[in-house]
Amino acid sequence: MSNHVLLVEDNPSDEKLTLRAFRQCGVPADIAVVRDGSEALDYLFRANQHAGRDQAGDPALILLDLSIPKINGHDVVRRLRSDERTKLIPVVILTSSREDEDVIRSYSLGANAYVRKPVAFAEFAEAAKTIASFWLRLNERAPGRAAYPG
Amino acid sequence: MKDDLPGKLPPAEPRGACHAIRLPTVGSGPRNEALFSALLDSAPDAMVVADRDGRIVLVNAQTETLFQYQRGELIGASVEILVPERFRRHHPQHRQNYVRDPRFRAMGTGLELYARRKNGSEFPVEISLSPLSTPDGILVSTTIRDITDRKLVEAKFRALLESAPDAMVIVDSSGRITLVNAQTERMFGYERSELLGQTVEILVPLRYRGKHSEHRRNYWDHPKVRAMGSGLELHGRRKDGTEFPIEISLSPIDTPEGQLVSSAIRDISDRKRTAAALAAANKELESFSYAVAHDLRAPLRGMSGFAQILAADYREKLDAEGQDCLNEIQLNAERMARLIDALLLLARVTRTDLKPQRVNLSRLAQTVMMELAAAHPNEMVAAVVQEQIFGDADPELVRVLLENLLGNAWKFVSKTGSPRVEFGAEVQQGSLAYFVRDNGAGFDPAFADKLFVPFQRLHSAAEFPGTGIGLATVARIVTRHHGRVWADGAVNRGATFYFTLAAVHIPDSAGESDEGAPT
Repeated sequence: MSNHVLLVEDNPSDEKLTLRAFRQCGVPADIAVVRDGSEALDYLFRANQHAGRDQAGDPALILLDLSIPKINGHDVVRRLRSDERTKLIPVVILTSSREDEDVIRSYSLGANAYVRKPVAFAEFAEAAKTIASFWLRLNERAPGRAAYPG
Repeated sequence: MKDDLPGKLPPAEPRGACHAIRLPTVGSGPRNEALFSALLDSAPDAMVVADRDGRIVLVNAQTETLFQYQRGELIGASVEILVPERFRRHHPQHRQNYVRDPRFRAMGTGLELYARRKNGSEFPVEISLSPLSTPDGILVSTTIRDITDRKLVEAKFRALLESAPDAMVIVDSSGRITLVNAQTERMFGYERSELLGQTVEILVPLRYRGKHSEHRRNYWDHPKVRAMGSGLELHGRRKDGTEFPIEISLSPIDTPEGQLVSSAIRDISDRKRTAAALAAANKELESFSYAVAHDLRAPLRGMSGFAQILAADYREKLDAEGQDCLNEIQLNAERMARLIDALLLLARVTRTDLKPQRVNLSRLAQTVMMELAAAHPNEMVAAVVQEQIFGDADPELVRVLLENLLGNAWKFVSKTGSPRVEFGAEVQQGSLAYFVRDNGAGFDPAFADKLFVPFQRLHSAAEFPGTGIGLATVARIVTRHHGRVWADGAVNRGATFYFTLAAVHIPDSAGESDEGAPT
């Protein structure tokens, strides 16, 4: 089963911390990183600089920050949910915001989970472990051609 | 009346036919003369009958009272005796003009008329004239009404009207403007004379004029004191065509001339501008809070995270002091994260809409205390909650309020021998006050007024940790509920925090409601 994860994150420190937290969590994950919303869509739809991407198939999980450059997190979710190729991929919002409006909007647009990044790294690592073990191990994925390439 | 007073009818006068007086014909008998005289004397107004040369032939009792002459002094005298000296020169001319075209009418329409008493003093009057045809020739009957009281009332009314901060426009049932005040002239840029007699639509923007006359007619069907077009944005139109936002209240006035409508018009441009500026400021504050939430937390996460990684992966390369430094970095980052959260909460408390319900505060306090006990398992705090205390409040905000007060109490009893925290309500200064009481560290009453100021702390962070925002949040919540908050306490003698909510329910046994659920 693929443990391919797409991390959409523009803050380099958060990127390093997230990668480290997932590396330590005990659930092996193959994490690709993109740094803005536009690149995230290119990656998922195999466009522009990611046109030739095919080796890893579609990610089993997308970790998405909301405040990211070019196309924000909410618009990314909207685009993913309106396309047959991506509408079933689990999206976990991973953000600093706890604004009611952000949470409600994320769920309304079709996000699968909403996690606020804790400041303390120990808690962050715990959150990463929970996310990885639930979405990559416990959760049953939707069957589909995209998830099982070739 | 016609039968008792036979005689020739005066010229037909549609408006004042009932005011016409007919003199008895000569030789009509003593009975009629007495009746006529009694009738004249019972009239509320002074009545003076003069011949075509202006000589007084008849006066009634009211004339004597009003002018302070004896009847004998007046009969045979010229009517000019009753006219102020300054008008006497022209009066005979007016008199002669009248005799040439005698008909029932008011004297000097539109003029302010005055009469003169025997002692020379003057008083304002209203005069109507009517010709009397008699076998001896034409006589002129003059009815004189003293309008001193009415003038006084009018003067008061006018002073009130002119001093009003609003434009006041009085309109008759056909929509014509009958009266405006100075404020109307200033607000709309018209002279008074340009407005009087015009339909009130002159003050209404062109695009609303058609609808307005329709609304005006509807108002006449149900005239009562009310605001115009409540919930609508109303605009006035100045003489130069510019428009401005207004608020209008209408009230019907009953007058002898029929029902009128008085409208008070307020220019709300300034208020609109202020509201717009405030909304913009709030919007800005909101996006600022958002930025704080997102952008200030991220660097903290970096600091904390990398310090933690350093402490974990390079443990053997650091001595105890080095590890302690890393620990401090993490603690400070976390403390700042809490501060940011507290500030965000304070901002949210300010801008969320209140949804007040009847809340079971006893149950809410119990829930919060149970959570606190669970979070501090090593502290055996005696928690006392008075039963059946209710309050009208926003359930979410009042929960934040109790979390702060009870959380504080929990914190400040942590160094006390037998810690105790109590929630209840009692009558204070005549109204029901809720309280949270503890037997902890207390505070110096000299600083009581500083308790509710943001970032103001009375204890060092080493003694009792805290953000310094909790009580500011409490105060903000209470203020939003139109209540009061205050504290009693002394150093090492505990503290009691009181608060009121504007609409309180005295505890009763009837309503056992779930926390936050409306009853």
